Amino acid sequence: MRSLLALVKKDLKLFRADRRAVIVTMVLPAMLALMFGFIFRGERGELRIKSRVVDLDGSPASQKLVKALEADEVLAARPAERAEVDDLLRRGTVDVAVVIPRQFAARAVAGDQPAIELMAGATSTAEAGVARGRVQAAIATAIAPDLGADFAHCVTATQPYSMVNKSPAGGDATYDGAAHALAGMGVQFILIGAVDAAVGMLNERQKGLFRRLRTAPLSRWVLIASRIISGALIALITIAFLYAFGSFTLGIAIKGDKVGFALVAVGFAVMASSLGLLIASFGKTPQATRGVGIFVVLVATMLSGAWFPAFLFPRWMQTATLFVPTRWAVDGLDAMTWRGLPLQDAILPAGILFLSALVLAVWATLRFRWDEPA
Amino acid sequence: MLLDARGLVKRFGKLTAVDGVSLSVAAGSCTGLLGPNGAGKTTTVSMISGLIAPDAGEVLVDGAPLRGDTDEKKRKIGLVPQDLALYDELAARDNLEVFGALYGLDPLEIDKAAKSALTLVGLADRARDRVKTYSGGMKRRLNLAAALLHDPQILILDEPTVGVDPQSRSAIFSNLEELRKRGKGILYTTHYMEEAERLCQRIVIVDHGKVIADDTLRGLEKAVPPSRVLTVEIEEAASPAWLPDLRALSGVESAELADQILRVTLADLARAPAVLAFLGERRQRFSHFRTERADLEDIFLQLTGHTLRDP
Repeated sequence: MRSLLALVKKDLKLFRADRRAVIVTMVLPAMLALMFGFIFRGERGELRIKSRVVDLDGSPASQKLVKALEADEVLAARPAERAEVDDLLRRGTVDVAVVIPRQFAARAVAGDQPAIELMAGATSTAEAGVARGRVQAAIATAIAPDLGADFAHCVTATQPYSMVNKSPAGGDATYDGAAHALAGMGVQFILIGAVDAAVGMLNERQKGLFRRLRTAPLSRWVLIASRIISGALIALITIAFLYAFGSFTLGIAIKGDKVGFALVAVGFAVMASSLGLLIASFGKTPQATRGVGIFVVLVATMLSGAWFPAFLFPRWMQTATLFVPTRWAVDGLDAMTWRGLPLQDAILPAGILFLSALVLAVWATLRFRWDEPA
Repeated sequence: MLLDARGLVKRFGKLTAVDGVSLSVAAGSCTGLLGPNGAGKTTTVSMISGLIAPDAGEVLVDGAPLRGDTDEKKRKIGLVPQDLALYDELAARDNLEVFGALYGLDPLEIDKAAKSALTLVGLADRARDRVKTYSGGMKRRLNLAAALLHDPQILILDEPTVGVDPQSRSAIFSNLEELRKRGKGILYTTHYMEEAERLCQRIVIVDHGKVIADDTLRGLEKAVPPSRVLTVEIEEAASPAWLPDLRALSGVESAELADQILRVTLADLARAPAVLAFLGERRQRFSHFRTERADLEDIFLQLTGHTLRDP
């Protein structure tokens, strides 16, 4: 028994002595739990759906409704022209658009049951469901008093209006959950590969390989560039394999621009490789770096929208996703696959990915310690 | 001089790891850099190899200063690091291909150089095997081969025999002696006295970042008072009656006999013939006698007041 206790005590002491292991084991899961908590227990006011409202009526009542939808804490709808919402929805820039028809107020009072169009993008079915409830609530609270008690009463009896779901004009791409999942999982596992590469770099540093490499007449930029290129090539091969596999087994196709797809894929591959380098530059030991790296990957993947619809995130987190390159990777891959969008829609995501890669690579190069820390 | 390091200084925060170290290596010679762990040897080697920039001083390679990561003069240097800096998952040949390419060798040159280096270190028949299947001694020899690919004029070895079995150590020494005969200049860092004594014509001793001696082995020996101990291997184990008389002999400070080894401490080594004559007079047969010469351990102790292995 004494031996057993001594051995257990020894293990606990070793665990306590490795501060990074303590952080990886306790602090990082706690932080992840906190983020999940924000998502699943957030107040309704924290929900945010990217919305537009089109007022074709222009009556005082419809203008009041527009203002109510603008003030709505979930929708925070911005007024838009009818002609522009189709494009915004197709590109996924906007989740839903509420179109108030001509003569809405007059026809509603007359018992004509005018139809409000609730337009939603292909990936925004859940958002459309939430938006429907918010619009109904806004009508009940904002328009009913203006149009008379009967109307107000009818909200719970026979509605003087109806709501119809519509897709963007010109035909919206059919949402392909498999293609979206492939993009999300591809991003996640390529990033995990980047973490492995980071750990590999630290192992090489421990073995003194960088000392040997740096005795050659080479700049450190060459050494850094070689790591980025090799990491990016491995990521590209992975992407090619995943989409070939997806095409063969699930019929996933690149319906958009092929060059655009390649641009996004290369941009993401270089970004992932550079991120791995940055993780290595922050890492001291391979063991601790793996834990921290996986945490970074999980957060980056979650914020990319690969796991949950983005509207579930708190507002600050929705804003934060704009600064997360993985979100642009998933958006870009979606745009070029099931959304079937043209080359111009790949430019922004690819550009952001390349810019992120540059920033990460420069940061990593300036930070990386070529010799094992004392 | 192939290599001339002048007044090298390196500080890490408040710690001055290397404080004005100067040394040189000539073609066809081996200079030993000796010191206990933490004396500043590896930091000195790092500066000489161009891995870190000195805070003061300069490194001249073939008379020209070494500057920056991309200095072409680095091609004249081959470093054998203390660590086994090899890719374990790759074959020995593939490792050498990587290291050769870093110095701009084309595939044909790499092939020729790899064969030559592997033959020298006795690994030609294991060239296609993964390094992870090698023994520790074989890895050490491959570590040496990797530094030879680009045919450097100067070979810098940073404690290359740590953890090596006697056979591999002997093989490495033979390789280095062969390379020295071919005209390479060798800087050999170690804290093993016997290695420096065997390989090096000139020895630089550092302690606490400073050079405390820089001379040939013979020159260093002069700095230490000669030993006054005469050791005689006598025949026939016994407790001879003559031992008290020997102790009383003029010029003898002490005499001890154990396991047929007689150790006589003399006031002056010139009294040694008188001791041997005494034994002859007493008809005591002996098979061998010697006087003890100061070794590097003694020299280091004399210079620093502590031993090499106890920093």
